[in-house]
Amino acid sequence: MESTAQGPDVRRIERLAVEMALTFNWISLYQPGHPSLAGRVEKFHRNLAEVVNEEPSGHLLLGVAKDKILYQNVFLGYGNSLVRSFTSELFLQQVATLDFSPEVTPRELLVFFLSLQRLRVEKTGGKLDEILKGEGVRGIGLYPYNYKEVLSRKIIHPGGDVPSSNREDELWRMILTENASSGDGGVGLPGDLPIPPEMIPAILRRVNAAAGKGNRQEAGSEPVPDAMSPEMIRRVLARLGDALHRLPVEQKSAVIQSLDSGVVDALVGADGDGGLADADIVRSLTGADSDHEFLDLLATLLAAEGKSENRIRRIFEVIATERNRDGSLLPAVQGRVRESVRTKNYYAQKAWETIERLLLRRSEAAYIGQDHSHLLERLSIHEPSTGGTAEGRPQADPAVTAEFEEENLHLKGAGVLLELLAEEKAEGEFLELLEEVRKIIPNLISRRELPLLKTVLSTLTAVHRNAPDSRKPGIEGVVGEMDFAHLIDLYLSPAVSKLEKGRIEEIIVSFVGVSIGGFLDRLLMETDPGNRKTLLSLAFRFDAEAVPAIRGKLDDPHWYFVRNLCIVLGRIGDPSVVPDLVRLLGHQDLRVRKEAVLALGQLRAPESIPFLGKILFHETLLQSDREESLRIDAANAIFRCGSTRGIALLHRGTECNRKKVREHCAALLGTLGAEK
Amino acid sequence: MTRDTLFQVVSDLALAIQGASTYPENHPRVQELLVRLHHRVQSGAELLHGLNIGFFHDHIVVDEVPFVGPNPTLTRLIERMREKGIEKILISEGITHGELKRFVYFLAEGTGSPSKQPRESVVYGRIEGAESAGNASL
Repeated sequence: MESTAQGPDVRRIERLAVEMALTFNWISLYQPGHPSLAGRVEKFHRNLAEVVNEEPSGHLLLGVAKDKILYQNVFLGYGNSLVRSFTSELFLQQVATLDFSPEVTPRELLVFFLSLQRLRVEKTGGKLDEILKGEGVRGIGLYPYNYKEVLSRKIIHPGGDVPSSNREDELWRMILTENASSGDGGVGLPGDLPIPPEMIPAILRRVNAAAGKGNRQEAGSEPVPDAMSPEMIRRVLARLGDALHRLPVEQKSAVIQSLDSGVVDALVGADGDGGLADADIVRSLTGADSDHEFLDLLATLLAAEGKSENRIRRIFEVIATERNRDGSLLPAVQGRVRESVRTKNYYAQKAWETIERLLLRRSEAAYIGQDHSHLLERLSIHEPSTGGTAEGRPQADPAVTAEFEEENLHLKGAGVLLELLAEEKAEGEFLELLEEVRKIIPNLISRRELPLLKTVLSTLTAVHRNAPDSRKPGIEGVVGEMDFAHLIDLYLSPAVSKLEKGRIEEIIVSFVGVSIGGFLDRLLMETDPGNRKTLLSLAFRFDAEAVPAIRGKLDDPHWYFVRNLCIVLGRIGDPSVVPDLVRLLGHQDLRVRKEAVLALGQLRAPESIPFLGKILFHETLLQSDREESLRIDAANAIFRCGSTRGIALLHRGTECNRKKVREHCAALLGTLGAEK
Repeated sequence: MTRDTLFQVVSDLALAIQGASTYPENHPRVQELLVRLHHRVQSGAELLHGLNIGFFHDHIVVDEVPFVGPNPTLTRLIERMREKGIEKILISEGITHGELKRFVYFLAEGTGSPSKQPRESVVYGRIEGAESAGNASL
């Protein structure tokens, strides 16, 4: 039996757990009232009552971790099959914690065991705690798992820290104890409770006000009621900063802006002497943010602010300057400026350039002496042409605003990206832009932005055509990664409109050199005859670019697939495939041979005439109708190929043993005579 | 969402991963499973404003609803997740078919990382805080 921290108390609980599991086992085996059960529950009750009375809280709490029990911080009963079986039953009933109180009676224990057994056997789907309540059980409490809290926790990428070997125990402990503590030793501290985002502004205002009062107290004023100690403020801010850190940047920005009103309130009574406290608050709240997160927040604040004398904004300027003391923030800002230039996001570019200028010329001393609001106001002023959202301001023309909607900007951004890619001369920049293009392609298919997808592919093809050899593999890689399987799936989907299908068809046909692989795979795998027919119709539009890939599949073991390929090759009409089709005239399956004959006829390839002649004159004693039909098809193909040799062969065909073949050759020659 | 609907989400996820690792990418079975999974995941994420799936020891929890009964399909899914160190998946509203497909193939083949894609709607990994629960007690 496993126990990670054995002690006398733990061993006693372990024995009790085994006894409980054993009692349940006996109750499961015998009918109620059986002599073997006599006195078992009573004995267990006596031992349980002793343990419960010794518990400091007066309650014995046992956590159920599927196949083991958690007592305090120790897992018990893992190696005992009876305990495992008992706890598994509790787990299936979703009992996370068993709570035995001193009021528990032998009758209640019996009801508990019997109810659990009944649920196991009858599988009625009832709830154990409701059954116990219905039976008037007061001494046993059952608590369910609270997955909501556990699942609402943040995610750490698997590539991060290496998980410990007892990760399973850690998870169980978290699930079973999440309501009791946060796990860092601070059991029951209010600071460990999660802070709902909606409460953050209210708490901040309270802290802000308290900080202002504290400052006045320190300055020698009279004691102020409701003042918080600096230590308490520091702790609250640390917790708030942590809670804020988890929020999206827009929400974070809104919370910090909400400080503005609180600051003003606090300052009214403080003769404008509250600046330091405000800066400290903001500094604490953003302390956990990385430089990039901080910049995002700053940019959002700048973009969101109206034309006002905004203290928060200026506080951010100071903090930004502080953060840039070692010069780490400026390169990040410059990187964003470059990124904005590349994507032609002029608004973002303007914002980042402003921040860059701010960092380059600003010092804290300058902040104290100068007012930079003009600089920032420039960003906040809405252009008359774009209208405004505030009340009383004119609304922009919907046609204009539509141009700035996210989707439109996304489309235009992609267009600009392609333009830059096509014109880029520097190798490094080119590869960077190419990577950006690679990233947008999968979403273009998912979002069915088909015209843009076609443009992207056209641009890439054009760039590839004129690119130096060093760039070609990169471009080919990007195009090769495209998910044509998904595109073909959309093409076959009944949910896709006719217009979109037409666009998809254009893409598949126009870029058949890259789409052919996915197409052939689907043609092979497709089980629905209707879909196969649709795919074949699509393939009839392919050109010679598709031939190498098709040729590579001609040895596929599936006859029907090879037959379909012969049909496609015949329709493409590329004479280079004649040798391959001639080879297929010897295919073991007659259906493939037939399509190869027909394809050669479509290609009108004179070099195939001798091979077609072999089929025409292939006489056997007991020839089937299908074989006869193949010979007639060969005669047709020879006729289509023409040439003197072909006509000579048809003349020979009129002397065949099989009447139908003979007559068909004669009819073909007759047609020839009539034409002359 | 009903318990059955949530079960179908994880069940389809398991089947899609299984299909993606067994059949070629263009096999209609894979396409069919992905389309069905995408439909279910998308509607689930929209209804619940994000779909949370947790993988704990030998059971799965979808949006607070646990699936604890023995099920070979889910057992294989849990094993796969454990191998990849995934304890929680968060799927956001508006997930596209492409994103879901990439994630399924990532799980099936272990190639690439979908989180590196732009606008990715799937976040996955281990659950924060479990390691610090080492000394927590009832």
